[in-house]
Amino acid sequence: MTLALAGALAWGVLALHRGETISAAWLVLAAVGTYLLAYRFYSRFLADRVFGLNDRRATPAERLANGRDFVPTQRWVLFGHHFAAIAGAGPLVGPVLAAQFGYLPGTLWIVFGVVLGGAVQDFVILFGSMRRDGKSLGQMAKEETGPVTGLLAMVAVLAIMVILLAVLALVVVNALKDSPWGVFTILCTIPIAILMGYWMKVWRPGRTLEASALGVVLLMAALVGGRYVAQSPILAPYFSYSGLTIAYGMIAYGFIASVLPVWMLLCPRDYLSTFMKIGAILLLALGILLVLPPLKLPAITRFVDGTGPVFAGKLFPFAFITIACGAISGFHSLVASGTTPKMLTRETDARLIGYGGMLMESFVAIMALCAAALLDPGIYFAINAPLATLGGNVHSAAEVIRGWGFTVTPEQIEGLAASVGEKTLLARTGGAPSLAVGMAQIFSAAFGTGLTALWYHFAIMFEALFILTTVDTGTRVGRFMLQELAGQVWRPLGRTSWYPSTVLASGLIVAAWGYFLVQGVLDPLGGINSLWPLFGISNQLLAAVALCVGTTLIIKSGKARYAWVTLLPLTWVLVVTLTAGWQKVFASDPRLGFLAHAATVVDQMAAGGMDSARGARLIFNDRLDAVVTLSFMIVTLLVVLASAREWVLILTRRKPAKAQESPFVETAYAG
Amino acid sequence: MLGRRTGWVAKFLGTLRRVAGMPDYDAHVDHLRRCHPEIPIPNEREFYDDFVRARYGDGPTRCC
Repeated sequence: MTLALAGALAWGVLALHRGETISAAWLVLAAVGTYLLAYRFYSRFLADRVFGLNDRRATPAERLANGRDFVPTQRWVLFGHHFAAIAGAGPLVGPVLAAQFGYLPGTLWIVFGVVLGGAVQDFVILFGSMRRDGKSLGQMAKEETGPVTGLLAMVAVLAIMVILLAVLALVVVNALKDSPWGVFTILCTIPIAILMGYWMKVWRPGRTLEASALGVVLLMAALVGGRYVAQSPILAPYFSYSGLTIAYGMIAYGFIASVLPVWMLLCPRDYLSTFMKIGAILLLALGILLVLPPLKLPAITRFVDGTGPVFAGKLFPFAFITIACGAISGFHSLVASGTTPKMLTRETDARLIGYGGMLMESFVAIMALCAAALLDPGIYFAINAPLATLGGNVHSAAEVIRGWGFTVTPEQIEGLAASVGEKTLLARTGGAPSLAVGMAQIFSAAFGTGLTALWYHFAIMFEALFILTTVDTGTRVGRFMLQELAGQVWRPLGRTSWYPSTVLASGLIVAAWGYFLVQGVLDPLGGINSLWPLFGISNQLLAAVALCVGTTLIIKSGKARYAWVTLLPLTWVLVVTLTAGWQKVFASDPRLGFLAHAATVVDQMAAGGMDSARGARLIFNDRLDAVVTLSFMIVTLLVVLASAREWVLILTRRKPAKAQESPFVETAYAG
Repeated sequence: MLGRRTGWVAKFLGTLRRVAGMPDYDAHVDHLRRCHPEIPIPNEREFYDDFVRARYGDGPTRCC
């Protein structure tokens, strides 16, 4: 309660100190205070009144216990497990990009978005899946609203996966291009993972912790070794690559990882990245609490008018698209209806894990925002604006940034790059490098200076590690989904163990995200400008699908009077994403609208300012992006309409309000 | 090395394992003995293979 009051006080301080430099402490305090209040009251209201969680009802983990996936798990352990599954690079990247509007819009959206939207979504889906023996989102959509909705939801998930993988891979490319240190460390993670895989499978079967401890030690050695590689005139050229080469390398890697046996690469990588994730996030929290750095970024920048260099578009709707993970993330609905519901010991644990787990991710997003906001604004824009805007060197960059009203000198930019062991930090758009610089500054201040370069590469390494793990698992999941869909056309294609089908499906998925990745690397505006909004839109639209399913569950369980808890965020997410989608397709500003950009390229080609092959490619890509955006919007609207029809039928009593829950079984646990 | 321990070390390592979603052989053997005495108990290698297959068999396990 005291903390909640402190939170209210912190909001007051934030409100009063606009235009001055304030400490990150107020941001953290305001967020934590709000989370505690929301958890104490709102999540209790959801648990007791809306869902009617009942500890006397046996959970799937108890009824179907098999010691493998259905395992009753202690709630704090499950909290950690669920958190590690939902949080990754997403909450670290989005807030850093959205910092171009200043720290205030991002903070407000992250805190209030999660309390009323994201955490509610995760909680309702976890609840629904728990009452249905751990069924997936797609299965629930199919059972509660019909087979067409189920199929649409599945296609939407597949498409989102492709965009997600492309944009995250682009973040890694921008962090690793021309960086021998980073490339060396990341390359090392592959043999390390394979070594761990053999350890756990062949040499010492099942000894997963031993293998992980070994992996972490080797990873640290690779990190330190990277410095020697970068400083060696003989070795460094072998590890310096252009963005395009790294992109093709990642595509090849994604394909190989998807067809190799799981135990060899994917499973060990998953363990390694889980431990690194928990370790790095605890370290970041500790660092911020110890240092409490002042925020140098203004609360609101001039770029709310839509002229921002990192990505185009006004504060509304683009701040709410750019920050998806951390405020509301549709992707979570897949995890909340996957492994977690099969491990809940008691029904009421769902509150801590579903609602509380998402609050924790939101807190990670707030810390990422702090790490970006403590940078000098000039430095922030030097790292994040595209090269086409900044010009080719530090002098032109400093000139351009001064034109925006932020002071920065060429020497500062160069000095910073040198201090983190890089040749240049210009135009490393994508969030990872600016976050890494911010974190390096926090860690240096907290745990001693002199190691700035090491901290920077530590931060780059763990972000790239999460992302490559997502690339592995995402490609594989995409492959399974594609095989399932293809199997409905021709049976043998659906067999996931049939090698030709596996190779074909993996190839198609990799080709799909690889295409968008290469397009992003070659994009003159910096691919983040077109791909990140596309990812945000698709992720939020998946949230809309999940909230539709959630609303259906609530109405069908006879609680229509409480349906506003999901209808409220649903409406907001739809307004935001449909507006953003519409603007990305039809806006007349060529930096913002895909079609307008295509039109400028046509003009340039007619005037002879661009060769026809390159122009044709740009035009094709613009139109493709426009079609993809429109398809997302149409699929979502179809799901919303199908769900709304179901709601009306039930509310007008033309259809019985009966949810497809598993029958009540009394728990055998005491108390 | 990090396998069989007792007391709080075992408890801590078990927690780590479950948080990371790692298999727990002893718990599985325990479960089989109690609930399915008719099924033969797999060795550690067979159990690990089955576990990995089941865990990564379907559906996303990770978010972005």
